[in-house]
Amino acid sequence: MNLTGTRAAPKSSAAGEQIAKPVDRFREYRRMWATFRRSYSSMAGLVIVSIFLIISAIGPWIVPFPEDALGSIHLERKLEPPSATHWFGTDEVGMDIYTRVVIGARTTLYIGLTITGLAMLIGVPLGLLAGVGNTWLRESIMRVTDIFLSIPGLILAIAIVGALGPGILNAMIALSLVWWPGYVRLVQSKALSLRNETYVEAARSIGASNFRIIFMHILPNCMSPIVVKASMDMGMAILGAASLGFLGLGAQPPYPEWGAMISIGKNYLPDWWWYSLFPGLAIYFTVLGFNLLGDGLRDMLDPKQRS
Amino acid sequence: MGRLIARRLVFMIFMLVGLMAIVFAISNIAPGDPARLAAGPDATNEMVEKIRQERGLDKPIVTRFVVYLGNLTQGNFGVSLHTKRDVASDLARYFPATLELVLYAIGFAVLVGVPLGMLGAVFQNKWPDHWIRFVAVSGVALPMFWLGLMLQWYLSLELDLFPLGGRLGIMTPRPETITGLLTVDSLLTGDIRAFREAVWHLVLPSLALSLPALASIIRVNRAEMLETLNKDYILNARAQGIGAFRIVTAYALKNAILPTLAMIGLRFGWMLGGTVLVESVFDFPGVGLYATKAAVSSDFDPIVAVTLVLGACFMVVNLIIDLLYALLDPRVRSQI
Amino acid sequence: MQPLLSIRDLALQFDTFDGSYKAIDHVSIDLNPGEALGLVGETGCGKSVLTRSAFGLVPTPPAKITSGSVTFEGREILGLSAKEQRAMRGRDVAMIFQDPMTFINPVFKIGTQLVDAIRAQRQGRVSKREARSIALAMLDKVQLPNPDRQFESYPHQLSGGMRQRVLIAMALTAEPKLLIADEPTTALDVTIQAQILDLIARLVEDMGISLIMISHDLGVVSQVCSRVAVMYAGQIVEDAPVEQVFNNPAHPYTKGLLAAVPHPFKVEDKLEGIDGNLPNLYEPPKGCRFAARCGHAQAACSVGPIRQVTIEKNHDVACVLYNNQEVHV
Repeated sequence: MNLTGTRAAPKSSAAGEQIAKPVDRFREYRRMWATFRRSYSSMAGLVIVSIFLIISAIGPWIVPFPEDALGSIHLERKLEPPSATHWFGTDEVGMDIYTRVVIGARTTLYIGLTITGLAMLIGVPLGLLAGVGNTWLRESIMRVTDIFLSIPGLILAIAIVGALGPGILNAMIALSLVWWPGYVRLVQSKALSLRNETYVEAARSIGASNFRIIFMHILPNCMSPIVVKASMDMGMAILGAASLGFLGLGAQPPYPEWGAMISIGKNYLPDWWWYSLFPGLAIYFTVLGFNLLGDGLRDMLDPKQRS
Repeated sequence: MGRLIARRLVFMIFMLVGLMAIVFAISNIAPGDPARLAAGPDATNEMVEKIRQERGLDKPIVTRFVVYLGNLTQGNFGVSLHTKRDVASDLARYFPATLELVLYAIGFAVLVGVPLGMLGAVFQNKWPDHWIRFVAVSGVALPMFWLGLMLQWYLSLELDLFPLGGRLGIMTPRPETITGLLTVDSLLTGDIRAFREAVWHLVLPSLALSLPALASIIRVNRAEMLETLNKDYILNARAQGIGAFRIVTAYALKNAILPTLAMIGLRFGWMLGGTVLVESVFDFPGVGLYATKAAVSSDFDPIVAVTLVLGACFMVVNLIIDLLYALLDPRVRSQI
Repeated sequence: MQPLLSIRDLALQFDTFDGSYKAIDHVSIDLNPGEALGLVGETGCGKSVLTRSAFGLVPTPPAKITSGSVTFEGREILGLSAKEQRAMRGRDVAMIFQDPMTFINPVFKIGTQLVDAIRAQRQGRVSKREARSIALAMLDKVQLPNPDRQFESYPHQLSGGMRQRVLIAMALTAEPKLLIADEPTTALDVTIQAQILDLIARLVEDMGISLIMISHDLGVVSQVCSRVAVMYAGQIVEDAPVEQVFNNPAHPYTKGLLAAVPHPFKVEDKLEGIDGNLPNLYEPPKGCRFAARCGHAQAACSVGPIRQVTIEKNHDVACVLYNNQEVHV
């Protein structure tokens, strides 16, 4: 039973490293990789995400019924249960669900990357500005960020989609607008702490322009937490898009998006349960993979950060 | 302490106004003509113009915002296109349902999550911890709506253990409305049948709604407990011979619970968003379902109202969390 | 006379990602009843680990005791169950630690923690009210001003010196036979240091407690202790009465330590440091771990375990240089 926790190696390890060879970067990377590798969950995450990426890449070429991807009608084989030909069964117009789930991976990847990418594109520069700029600038940016963060994310997304109209593009815009404040907060606090570091002062004292300081000194040091957050966010963004799809506000049928598929499958419970089950499992494993990977990255790169 | 509350309330009002501005801005980027939408598809151009003038939709945007704010403070949230009623009365009807659902869900998440997190820390890396961590990691990855559907399918349709949806059975009359929370109202009026039904109808939706929060709370609490158990004052307590139970449940927990509280607050916000999904699946008549139906039919006033109400709700909860923080951590109390 | 605490040939290592860190290398030392022993060495030499491991306060993964025995009042304590070890702590042996800020729980009142400790020490056989009066009496004894008010205070409301007094009170309410003070004054202002040391010395004598005081500061130790053991890199290199350590230091490390401290009255050109660095304890050198930095090192120093040699009464040193000066008392 663990009452004191596992203390790290003795406090004297600092002294022990004193006479050891100077820690070189290569050894540092190897140690980070070894830390990552030791964790079963992180490795599992890496495997899942890799599978996901591979499926997204080669999906259209490995599916048994490629014409079902965007909509074809084969009423003679509608709503068949899982079998050897149709591993996940068929839907109400006879399309092979396995095919659509696999193709859906590509859609999902595209959605996740777009949302996370857009959010970073808006959030990181604003965060840098807020962290490095004067008080007035920082306060105004942070106040707006706080207001955005005071609305539960999905509600705000629904409001935006409600305004723009349903559709996958609008859903992605909406979700990006929900996610960017997180990056602002992260980058702002990191930049704020960094700007007082001595090397920034040193750079400033020799006349480096603000631009240069931001790009060469501050931004690179923000990259680890940004990468960690981005990998965690991929999972959440995918969930968000699937949720909107489920509500009918995101991808519209017959788009092969997992959430939209579940939304239609809902009407066919319980007798034709496979329709909802498999896309849901796909979402679960994908998000799980990204979360585990994100955790592993965080433990490796930035152990002090906790979401 | 009173000063803290007063200050935060004032701050909250500013935040709410900011929130209204943002939501108002969003509503105005809507493509499509609100006057035409309100008039309906068969309206002639004159009718649309008339409605536009009636509703002041032809005035400049700032004026409209001010008018809008004025309306809000008077309780006028507009009219819903799809229910044809006052949004305000719709809110009064649907909000208590959501509130009840969320309260039970967050209650479950906290009452189960905190102890499980503690257990995970104490039994670190032994098999109970592995199971607990599995739940914690999975819970965040499971799509809430899908979980709801699966629960519905298996526990309701297949095993017939729980009702399919709604708040009460069709034949059961509603108890007198005192708080709007069915479980409370039925207890207060002594209506045991309604109470049982209300509880039974709440089980599956709250379970689905609570799972991500449960998972996050387990994770944070476990991590905080692990870190706290490593602290020097725990070593000192052990050196004095203080027993393991008291060390874990008092000395360590009271310190670890503070960041966990912050996560609970955050998760409450996500949960409010999740009501949209869970209410859809279980046909639960709350503001989430209301907002979804409005969004699908481009009915904007309800969406705005729900956003504001839930945003305000979230802010209130954060305030409560901050107060709890002050209550639990004497160092914070000294700074007030 | 039977020693109160007897450590024989204790070896301990930490199993980490980088290998096995051999923190304690076959250490033997005795403490007699009523004695005040100072355990001196630089940061990282293993002095804290030594005393903590004797009483089960070092978590055993990652630590591992690979050999040796520890007896307390004649009873072997290393193999005791966790429950038995816990019973001993707070009753037979009490500890006070270095940084009172981090060693007191910040979210509970001082009084609550004291009462908890007292009740644990007496295995719940006192009521809360009795415990409270015992606590207040002890707070008075450690010269904490306004004990009644401090009883209801939180740690952050007290100064460093006051917190350390609270920790001392917590330790002494147990009426232990042995008090281990682990760098009790290191985190305090110099002016408060003297007061606290004085307090410890007096209480220990009044209550007839045996003391082990751990410090990196020979000066601190000399104020309170009658005997000093010098540790380096997990080995005890010298063990002598305090005057002998100062007047007749034997081991080259001890000499180096004394030479490095500036004399308050002599004007010197430069301070003499000890060349070199701590050895790598993941792969420690055989034999004397100080050999690499010692000006008098010989081949014999790196061969095998260095024997402790008695060069005068109560004065032992682990150094081959003195092998031929051994006396038998």
